[in-house]
Amino acid sequence: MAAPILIAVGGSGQHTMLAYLRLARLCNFVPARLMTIDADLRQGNGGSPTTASLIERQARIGFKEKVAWEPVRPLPEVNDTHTQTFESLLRPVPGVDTEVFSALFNQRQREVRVVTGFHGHPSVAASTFRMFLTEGATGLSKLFTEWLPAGGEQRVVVAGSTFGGTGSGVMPVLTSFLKDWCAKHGRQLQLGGVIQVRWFDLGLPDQVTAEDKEKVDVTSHDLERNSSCLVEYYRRNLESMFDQAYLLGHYPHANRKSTGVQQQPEHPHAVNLLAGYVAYQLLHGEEMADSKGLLGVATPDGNLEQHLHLPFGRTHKPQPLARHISATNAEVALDQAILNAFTAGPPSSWDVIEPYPPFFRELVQQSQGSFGGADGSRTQPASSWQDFLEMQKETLRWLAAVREHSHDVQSCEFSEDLVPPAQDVGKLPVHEPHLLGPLHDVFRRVLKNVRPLKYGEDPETVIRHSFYTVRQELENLLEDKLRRIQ
Amino acid sequence: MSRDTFWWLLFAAIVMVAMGLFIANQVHKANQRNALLDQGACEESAMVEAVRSYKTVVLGLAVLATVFGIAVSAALTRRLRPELYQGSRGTGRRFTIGLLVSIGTVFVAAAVLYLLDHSCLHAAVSPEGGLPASVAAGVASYVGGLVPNFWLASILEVLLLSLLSFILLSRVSRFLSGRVAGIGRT
Repeated sequence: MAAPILIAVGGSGQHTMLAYLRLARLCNFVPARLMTIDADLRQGNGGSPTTASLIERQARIGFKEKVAWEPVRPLPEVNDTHTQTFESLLRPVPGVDTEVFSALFNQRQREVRVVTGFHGHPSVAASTFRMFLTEGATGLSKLFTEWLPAGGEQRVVVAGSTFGGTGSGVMPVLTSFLKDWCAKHGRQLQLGGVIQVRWFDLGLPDQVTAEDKEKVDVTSHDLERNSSCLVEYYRRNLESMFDQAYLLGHYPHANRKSTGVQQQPEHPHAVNLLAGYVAYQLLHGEEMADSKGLLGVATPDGNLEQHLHLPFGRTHKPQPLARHISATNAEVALDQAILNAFTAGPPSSWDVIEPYPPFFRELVQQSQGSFGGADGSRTQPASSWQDFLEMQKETLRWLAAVREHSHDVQSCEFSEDLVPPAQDVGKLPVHEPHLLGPLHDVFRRVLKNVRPLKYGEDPETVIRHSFYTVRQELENLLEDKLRRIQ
Repeated sequence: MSRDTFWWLLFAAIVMVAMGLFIANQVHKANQRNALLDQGACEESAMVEAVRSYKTVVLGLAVLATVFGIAVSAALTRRLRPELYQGSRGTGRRFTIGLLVSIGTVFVAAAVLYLLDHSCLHAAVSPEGGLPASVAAGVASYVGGLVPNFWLASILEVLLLSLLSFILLSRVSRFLSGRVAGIGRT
């Protein structure tokens, strides 16, 4: 079976994808091929990073293997990217009567600037995306020409929401198009859906000015309207849209501050974490492979870390997320120690025994780099090691943010021993206890099994494989230790 | 305690036991000589023999103490505390500690031996009735010709020998640990 495909539609879909990618880092699995469909794929302007830029970074840094990521803007040809409204998109189409158009879409919908998103208007999104598909859907060409080969079943999961603009409007059109295309071209498709139903109330930002108030594009009322319509739509059509699907949400609703039209920052929350996990199960899991229809309505509770199970260690036995988080803490400690050793410089000839395992010598040799350089300079392999390590730390900080933002609905209560406060992430003494033994001992036991000479000639691949093999060997060691303790 | 620390400590303990047996054997021999001494005068040839014997024992101790110092240094190296925690090199400190342990051990052991030995050794180095200073220094040390004092010559020789021995054996240890799979590794 070819590698699965995760398609994130709109803001909620991208939140699901980000959570899925964070889980991939926490649990050391190679993620699926990724596609994001959103009109607004801007990278932000120096403030909080946008969801699009975060996904881009996750894909660029990569995992044990490089990750295929394809961003798609579901818009037909747009000439003027600054002023293009939905109305100006449709006006040139011959045969479209302005009055009919006005009857179908109200003024607010007609004036939606589609180049920056669909701003909570599913009907605008659906119509625009249909135009995009009619014009040949060049942005989706990779999906149809490369990612959906003939022969063998292909798992595809589409993630989105019922309450926004893009996800609500694009998902039904996309799934219908995908199914038709696969049926026509003889592809075996297993289509899964991770659908977020409305789970938060949208408040105004703190200390909002009257001017900013005007800029708020989506309100709780819009969310309610969209969700009500879409839930009814899904009730009738879900089984024809997806082979298997999960609905995710939370009641009572959480609170979220609107960030306006200018940016789409990430909003870490337990619902997103759960959505990422469901996406993992539909993409990689075997338990639900043969299930059909609506598989459930999921909502997070206070013990998510005990309820979500993913394969761990050399046995690949499913273990609770808490064990994976603990292993990630241990990994941060070990990777930091490795980075420190690189910073300390080459081993001195005065040592009475060889101070480092062959790993260091081999990694420097195969990456065509040298010791040192982690502080500021881009000396390999230390700089790439630092990048990978930073992604692991960022994942732990994300978990801390999930805890913080889920506090109001008590849907996620990681202990601080398991998930340290964001400001403490990266401090060696904070992570060291998760090693279940002295750092220097784990350092030797793990690194003696990591042999960069075996990972080929390409420096980037060698460092990438070395980093993730360290994680795998560490998991194996922790698994053995835990078995002995038990 | 990790497995590799255990093995290094076991190694150091074996060296310590070897040193203990070596010293106990020398003390036993010294007691026998003392018993013989009670039966007759300490002649010049006996004095020379006592000094030569003492020198041989101390040189042997110097080599054993070097192995002990290397074991201590190696155990410290296994922990890699400065490298892993601070990103700085700890080599110089570990090397110095090993060397000081080595030299300190041989000096303490030599002093114990000297104090316990009541044979002609004490008479030989005594300013009155003993061997001439240059002779005692010459017999006690290979560098005694340059330093005509028993104590200075002995100290200088032990220092030189310990230093050379430590450097040489540490090179051998480094070579072996870097090439022979499994040595010192868990």
